[in-house]
Amino acid sequence: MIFYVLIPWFLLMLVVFQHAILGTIFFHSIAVEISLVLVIYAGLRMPALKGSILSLILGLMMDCITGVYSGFYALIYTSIFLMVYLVSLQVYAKSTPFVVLFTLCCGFIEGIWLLVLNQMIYGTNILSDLILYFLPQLVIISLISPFLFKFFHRIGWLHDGYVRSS
Amino acid sequence: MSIPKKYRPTAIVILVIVFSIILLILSTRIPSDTGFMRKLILDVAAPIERLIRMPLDKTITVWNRYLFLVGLGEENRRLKRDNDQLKNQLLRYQEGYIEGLRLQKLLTLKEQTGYVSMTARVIGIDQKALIKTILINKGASHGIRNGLPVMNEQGVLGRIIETSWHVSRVLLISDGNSNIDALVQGTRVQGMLQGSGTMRCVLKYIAKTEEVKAGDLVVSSGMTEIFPKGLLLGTVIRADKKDSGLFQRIEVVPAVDFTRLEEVLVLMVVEKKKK
Repeated sequence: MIFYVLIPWFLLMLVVFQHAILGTIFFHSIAVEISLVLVIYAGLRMPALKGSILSLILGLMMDCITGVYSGFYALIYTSIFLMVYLVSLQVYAKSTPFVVLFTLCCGFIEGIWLLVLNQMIYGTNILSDLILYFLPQLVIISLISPFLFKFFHRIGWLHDGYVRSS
Repeated sequence: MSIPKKYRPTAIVILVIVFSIILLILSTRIPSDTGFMRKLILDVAAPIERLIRMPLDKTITVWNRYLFLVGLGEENRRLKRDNDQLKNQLLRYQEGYIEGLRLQKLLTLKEQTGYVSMTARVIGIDQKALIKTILINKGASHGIRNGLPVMNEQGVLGRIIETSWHVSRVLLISDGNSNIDALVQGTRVQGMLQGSGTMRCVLKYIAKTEEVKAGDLVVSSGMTEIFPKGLLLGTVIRADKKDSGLFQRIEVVPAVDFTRLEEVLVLMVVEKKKK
């Protein structure tokens, strides 16, 4: 129960931190998306219901903060969560190299989603922006993802001792 | 219809995705004001973001100031260099402006005299020598010949005494060898203006019976063919009748300031053919 009480606040703080601190540190040229790593973490280490709710709320908050249509990031995050969840049922997903590579793959998928949704909803082609800004941030979040995984694991109420049965 | 337990988690996730899709479609299709939840999140997020950013922005400002100070010394040196260059440039422009003004005066004079004249630049002043002369940058190749009067906007300077192809020498009216037929403008009394060698001239051969006082203007009489009539030569500063002899001693200060000569006008007076 504590999960459902704390999660909106935790996610709000995470999104604000990501937007304010990391945005300023990287001069607003690269958006370091810790939120994506949390979605991947949820897909690999959390139960489906909690993970999908987390992805949905996180996506909605990203929609609010970034100013896109409601459901934009929600759709991206929940679909990535589903993919990660399905993969986690088949593979052993604890090693650091796997986490790094898997984050990189998920980042690419997010990039494709962003490209497609932007084209469909806004009618704009953001390919050049993605190459310029998204690829560097992908490398950064892939490299820091193992540390973020450890950080998320320390937050007990987030997974509440749940261990994936795979 | 019940979903098998094995697929329930996946079904939940798919349901959430479907919800996201519906939400996205609705928000793109139905234009509306900012929703309540959105407003709430923005209102909650903004102060937190401000709070987080405040120390960060301060740190960045301090860092930027430090970097600014590091570059300040170099920038200061560069600005000083630029300032010196601009000062020199300004000086050149000011010189050009002043020269323009002087030439404008000369041009006006040129039109007033009614004579064909030639503007020349003073390239040498020799006032401390035995013969007080100046050099100008026009010579025989420009049509300059001996005897031509030289003046500027203040009055008569002297006359040409020597010419080469491109340079001419002008004997100043303050030189002892200079003699010009002159008359006092007010009384029309005639005399001979002779240089005294000390930036002064003496108006000679004026009888003691004539009334001449300080402040009277002395102009050329036009009696000789060198200087046309009515050109300003100088101003009487002292008229002394106490000397023994028939004539007064009249001191005249030349109209031209010989210490500030830059451009002059050579009057191309046409020489009358001797019959």
